[in-house]
Amino acid sequence: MRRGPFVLLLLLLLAAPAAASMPCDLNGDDLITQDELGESILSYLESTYFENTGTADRTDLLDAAEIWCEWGGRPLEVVDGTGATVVLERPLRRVVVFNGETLETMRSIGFPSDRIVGIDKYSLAKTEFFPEFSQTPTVGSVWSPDYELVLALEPDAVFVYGASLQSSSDEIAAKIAESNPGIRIFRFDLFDPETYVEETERLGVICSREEEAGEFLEFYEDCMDTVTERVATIPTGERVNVYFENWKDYKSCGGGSGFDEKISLAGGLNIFTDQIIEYPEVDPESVIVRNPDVMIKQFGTGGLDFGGYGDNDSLQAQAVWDDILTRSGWSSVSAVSDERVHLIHVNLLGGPSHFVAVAYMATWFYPDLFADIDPAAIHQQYLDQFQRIDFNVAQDGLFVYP
Amino acid sequence: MRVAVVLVMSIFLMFLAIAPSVGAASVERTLMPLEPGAGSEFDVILTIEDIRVGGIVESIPAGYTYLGSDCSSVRVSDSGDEIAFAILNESTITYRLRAPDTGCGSIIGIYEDFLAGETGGIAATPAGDANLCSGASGTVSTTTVQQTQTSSLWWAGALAAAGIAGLMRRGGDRR
Repeated sequence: MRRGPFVLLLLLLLAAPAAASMPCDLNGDDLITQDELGESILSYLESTYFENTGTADRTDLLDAAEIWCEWGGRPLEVVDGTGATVVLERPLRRVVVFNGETLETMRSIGFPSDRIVGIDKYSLAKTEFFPEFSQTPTVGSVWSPDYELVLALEPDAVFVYGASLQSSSDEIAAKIAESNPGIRIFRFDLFDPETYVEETERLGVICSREEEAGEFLEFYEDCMDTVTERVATIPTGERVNVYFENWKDYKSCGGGSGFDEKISLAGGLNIFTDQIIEYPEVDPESVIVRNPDVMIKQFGTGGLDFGGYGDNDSLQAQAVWDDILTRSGWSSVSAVSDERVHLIHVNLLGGPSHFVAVAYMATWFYPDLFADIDPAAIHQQYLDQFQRIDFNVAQDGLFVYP
Repeated sequence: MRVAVVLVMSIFLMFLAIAPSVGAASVERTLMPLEPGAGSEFDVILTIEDIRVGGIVESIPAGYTYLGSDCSSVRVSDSGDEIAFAILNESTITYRLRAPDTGCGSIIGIYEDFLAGETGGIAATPAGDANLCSGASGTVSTTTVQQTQTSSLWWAGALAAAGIAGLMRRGGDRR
């Protein structure tokens, strides 16, 4: 029976109001030792089972256990998607997420959904994809945040966008910091293939899910590498020319844009990569002149808001496809005459699922080279193994057409 | 009021009994020797699986005496019939008891896994309806468990309280 010298300190700690300091760090030296954790466990067991007073804070022990096992007993210095450094004294238990891409990636790395106490209104609307958050409070959007609710939810951390939507995210970060400096702000984009791996690794550290992040990234990189390694063998002169169009007719993508990057990863050559504007509206004649081998049309947003996880009616997609094939003067365009026109949903092309879109495009660009690749199977594995949702892409939803 | 408390405890214990375990954590108890004689000293060995940081509370029958253990973090209740152990990467904990010259009862326990946030019961020893009994003959016999045994009710309450508290916390941990 050893009570040790920590009992008094422990009692003082338990009596103190909740603070951001490390739990069970009885002497306040920013290090949870084995003795301190053991003493804290015994005090908890004593108060809970011997005396049945229930005065000990079990959450403190849960946090201390995680810090001792995963962080070596010390505060953890973490880095967000923008490179900003933050020191965590406790694991995150209550977080508000303003961006759906971060929410999706948190699910990929197994961050518990019950630790997410507030989400953006767009993610809440995706009831088929985020069914577990149907009752989660919505904090609005990055353009119209509900600050009062964010603060009322008492989050440990708030996640906003990083390099994208910068001014809105800056404003949210500043206002929250002003209202409650104890709330950590983390900024991530998590949709750009160029930064996705590094951002996911950093998110894994912040969420104490490094191992799970590694497992997910192994799957992700395997998919991406399969495509990029094969297309690397195709000489530039033999690559297919690709015309990309947004939901709006003739709204294409210029060099350096996200869509240009994904077309390139799949081995295509964007016919408007020479455009300075990121998303230029192009002349129909110029498409005919540049004569693309393949056309990619995005749907699921704007005027073509159908398909995705909540809709498997292909009639609208067929109408869009038919319209493209009958565009005036386009019969001479190779993509049209060869019927190599493909529609793809923004759910795949625009967010963390972009690796599925890259796989689809690679099979469209080079069907022989990727004859053994089944993008729908990759998509299904992603949903089963990492998103952990009950959804059969062969039966439900509409992600590509034809 | 008392009826309500017993009802809540019963529901929680039924839940524990039928709910599939979501984690791999487990604690098993063995005695060495298996049938300790009256007045003899014997070891109780707790084999712990997949709990890196946790706690165990053992309740020993009236008349049995705790003598010590190989665990560095241990605490004994004032009444002497409850022993708490802190688990910090241990895979086994051995503690020593002395049996009374006469008396019956079973050892029951509970564990908490603080990394997984789970709580579970450790099966009674001896198992089922049997009891450790030290008789005048110096041998161990078994009897039917007394349903009114204070420690069993106490443990039911403790398990229920821990479980309900855990469920409540799961609904929204706050610091």
